[in-house]
Amino acid sequence: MKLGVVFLAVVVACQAIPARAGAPDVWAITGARIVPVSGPPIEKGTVVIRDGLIESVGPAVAAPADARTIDGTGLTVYPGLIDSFTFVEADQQAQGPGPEGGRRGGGPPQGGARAPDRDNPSGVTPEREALPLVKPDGRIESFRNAGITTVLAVPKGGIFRGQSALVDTAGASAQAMSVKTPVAQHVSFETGGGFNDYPGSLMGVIAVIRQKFLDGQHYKQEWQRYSATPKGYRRPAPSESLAAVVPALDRTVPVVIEANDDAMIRRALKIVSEFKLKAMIAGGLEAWKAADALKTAGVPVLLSLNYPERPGDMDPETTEPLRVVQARMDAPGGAAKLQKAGVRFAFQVGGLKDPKQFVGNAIKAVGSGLSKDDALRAMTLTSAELLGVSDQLGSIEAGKIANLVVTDGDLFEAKTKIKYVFVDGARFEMKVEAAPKPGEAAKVDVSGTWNLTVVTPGGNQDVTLTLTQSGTSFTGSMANAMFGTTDVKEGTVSGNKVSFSATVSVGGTSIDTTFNGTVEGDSMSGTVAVSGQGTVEFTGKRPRGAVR
Amino acid sequence: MRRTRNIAAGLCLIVALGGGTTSLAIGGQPAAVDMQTAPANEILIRNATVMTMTHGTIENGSVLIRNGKIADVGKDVKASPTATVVDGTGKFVTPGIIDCHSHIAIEGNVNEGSLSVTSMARIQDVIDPTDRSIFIGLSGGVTSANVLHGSANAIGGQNATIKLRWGKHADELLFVGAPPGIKFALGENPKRSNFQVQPQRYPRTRMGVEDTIRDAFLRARDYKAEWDRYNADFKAGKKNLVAPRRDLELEPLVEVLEGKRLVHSHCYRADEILMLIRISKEFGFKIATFQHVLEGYKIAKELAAEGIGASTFADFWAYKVEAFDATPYNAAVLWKAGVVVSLNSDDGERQRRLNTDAARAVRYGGVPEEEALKMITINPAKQLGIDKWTGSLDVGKDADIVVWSANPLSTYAVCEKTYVDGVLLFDRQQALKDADAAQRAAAALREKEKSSDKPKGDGPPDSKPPKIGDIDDMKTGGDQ
Repeated sequence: MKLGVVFLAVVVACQAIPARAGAPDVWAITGARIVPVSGPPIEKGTVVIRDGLIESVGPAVAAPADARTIDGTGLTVYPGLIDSFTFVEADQQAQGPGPEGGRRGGGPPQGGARAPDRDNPSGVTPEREALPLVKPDGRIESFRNAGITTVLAVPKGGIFRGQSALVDTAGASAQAMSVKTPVAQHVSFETGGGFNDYPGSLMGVIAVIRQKFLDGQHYKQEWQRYSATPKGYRRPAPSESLAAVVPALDRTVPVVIEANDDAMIRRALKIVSEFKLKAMIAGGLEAWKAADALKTAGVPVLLSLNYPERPGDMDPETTEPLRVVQARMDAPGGAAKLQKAGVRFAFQVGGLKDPKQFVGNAIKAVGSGLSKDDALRAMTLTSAELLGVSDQLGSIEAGKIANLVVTDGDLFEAKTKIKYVFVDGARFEMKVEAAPKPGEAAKVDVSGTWNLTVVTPGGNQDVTLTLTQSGTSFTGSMANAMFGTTDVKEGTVSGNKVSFSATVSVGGTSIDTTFNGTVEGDSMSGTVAVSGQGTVEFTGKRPRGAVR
Repeated sequence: MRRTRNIAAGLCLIVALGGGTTSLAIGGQPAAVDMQTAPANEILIRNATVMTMTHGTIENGSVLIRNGKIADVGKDVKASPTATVVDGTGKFVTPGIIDCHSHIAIEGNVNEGSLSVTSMARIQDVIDPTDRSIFIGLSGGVTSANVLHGSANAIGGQNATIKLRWGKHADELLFVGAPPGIKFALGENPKRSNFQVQPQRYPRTRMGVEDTIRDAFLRARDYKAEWDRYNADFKAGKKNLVAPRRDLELEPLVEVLEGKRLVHSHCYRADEILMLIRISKEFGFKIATFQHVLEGYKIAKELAAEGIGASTFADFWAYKVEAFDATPYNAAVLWKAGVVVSLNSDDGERQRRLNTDAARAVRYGGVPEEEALKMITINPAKQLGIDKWTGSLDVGKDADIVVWSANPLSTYAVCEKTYVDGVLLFDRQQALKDADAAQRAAAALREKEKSSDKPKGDGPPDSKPPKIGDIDDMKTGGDQ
């Protein structure tokens, strides 16, 4: 589908190609169970999506005439899930060391390339922004396939890591995906350095954090005075880095501090209290142990669902420290304890390798005493509230961004499958054709010319294939009005299953596509995976009379 | 690292407590241990040999604890009928031991070793209340410790005086009222003589160490002057003032200049000890203690004249060149010269046998028994400025008390009970009993996990090649 989105982007970018007929993208999911989160579930109702927004929702809403209708019978519609914390990284080659301690600020490791510097500690890059590090790639797609429609992207590495961006999980570019930036300033107690870099200890890190906030206060005061009375005062030296700290001190941008264990959370809260920050804790494995302090401080938690796991390859004779075992046993129950203690929390993916575990581990939290309603809220509306976007996201309400997850059952049942994901009103269907098993003899011959239609939310794309089969493999070309003609590669036939790939060039960008389909006589249908952008359906025919 | 059988058993319990069995209350005191409840209103330890440290030793004496404080000490002590009575017959009672040089309960590196001046680093920020060295200390009668930054830099971080309140949060371990301090270091450690990895920093010689300290105080003096000017302008009602930039490195040094922060300096050689005394005079600050101070015996008169405390090892030396010219008579010589002497551990294990170290001061140099015990109680309390609250068995002081099976200077003496603020935080009998139960609970928990949470997708754990897992490390200090 992203193919469609990319095509669309190209249409916008290249005036030569006529724009889409101007028809707004309208969808109606009818007769579905709707869980708006902001209100009680609607057992049978309709959600109408128009031009990226939710137009209406309710039991008595009629599907508009111009809408494409999805029969929602037996389906449940939830708000799109929000992941409230995931790291994004710069390409290693692309980033040099920043002006202020860039070594941990995303640049390549330099292992003691410069002397420790009290006035220029490593890893202090509050000015760094996450948004330019976001790429509409396969990783984003994997989040979307897991029902996650919005991600808080956080710059990886450093003590003052920089400013996070909230992005939707579909769009042609980071800018197109962006919902809000900056969302927060991110601080961690990450300790590198050792003897060769300052800071090289936890206590040094804490000193650096405190000094930076103090410097931010001083910077603000100096500029305030200078702005009010420029005459008679030397203008203060401008600093991008200090300027980025000021909004955090002003409480206009929250500060997210990463901390997992009880003592570390309490350390974070001391900094919060010293500088009167509007803060959140991210991670929070043992947040339930510090629930009293969190409640008193009014500090919510972006709770990681990346529970610690017993290593699969562990020697059964190994005796792990009891606290390690206990922490694992306690992890899924943390959310329920926070809920009970009255500490607000939103779930984050927290580096889970497979984003599908986001819901999987939320189910474990439910199994450990959290109600399904509270679990859902921690992945939708509470997340939106904590990240300051509850006017746009987090629930199914008219006027909000059309980010939805449509399932074939209760989200918190393991057997439930996601049928559709809507991101900014664009529909993604979770249907993937299995690739052919290699080695099976070809039962069909695909040689000839095929007219395929790729179904994308931005409209159908017509593609012409010209193929020549030999044994279980085939070659040929693929043509389209937009990207011209390109080679068909890796064409294989196994039974009546076919598979091939093609690289198309759209607006100067190369995009890999992989087609998997089933051939029945002169018909072919299946799915096409567009690298980094999702999977859409295609159907096609081989016109009669075409050369076999 | 010799360990008695009792200590080994104690360690089992530590594993259990530190690991947190299912029956432990989280975030506060471990609830499974009956002894760790709120201070009983009254505890009477009766009919024991009470070694007060300030007013002699009382045979068949009693100590009354009330609301965490020492309410009475003497031969004829009256308690209320509801008081918990501990029979001290045949036992010895001393104040809690104070370890004047410790690196226990620190999370992360003991050293912020990157720079030569790291006065901005604070131990109070990184107290790890779950470090089982705290429990090991209690098992040897330690109730307070001077937790110091390491000695990798000429001016190190700010130390934290703590009470060993096992089971409490980090902030609750801090000794309320204890004057703040800072670690300095001279010699081989700050110039990084004995280390394979050489940091990219100045200094590399003893001259450079001196210069580093002088330079820091010159900067601190300028910084103080800047603030003094600002404060004067503010007082004079000047408009449009912006306070100077706060500098976390120099602030604590200004406090040293103002006499508000104690200097504890790691040192070995007599010449550089005198060097630091000269710097202190140049800048007008006072040194609270010299730590290790193995050549202190050479300049005992000078140290006594300056009123600087000495905190040394009983008989530990020759681990590096600057520690060669040492003698176990150091403590005795310094004591005879009138220096306030303490014996410290610098180590998570040695701390539990400081009573034996005190005995060495009797053996080497003939320090009287009570004076030797003062070296691990009231003397370190004086050096740390906490003798108002602890260090001796005096009415009104915190009930930091140890019950010993025999005279603590005896090799056979075993610490049986340790009270901190009147709370029984270590009870050997209970510890031995709990150790078994805790190990069973631990085994049960491991089994429970194995049965409930099979690793998914990777096959059974025993189908993979073995891998050595991490073992709960015991933090040790050493000469950091």
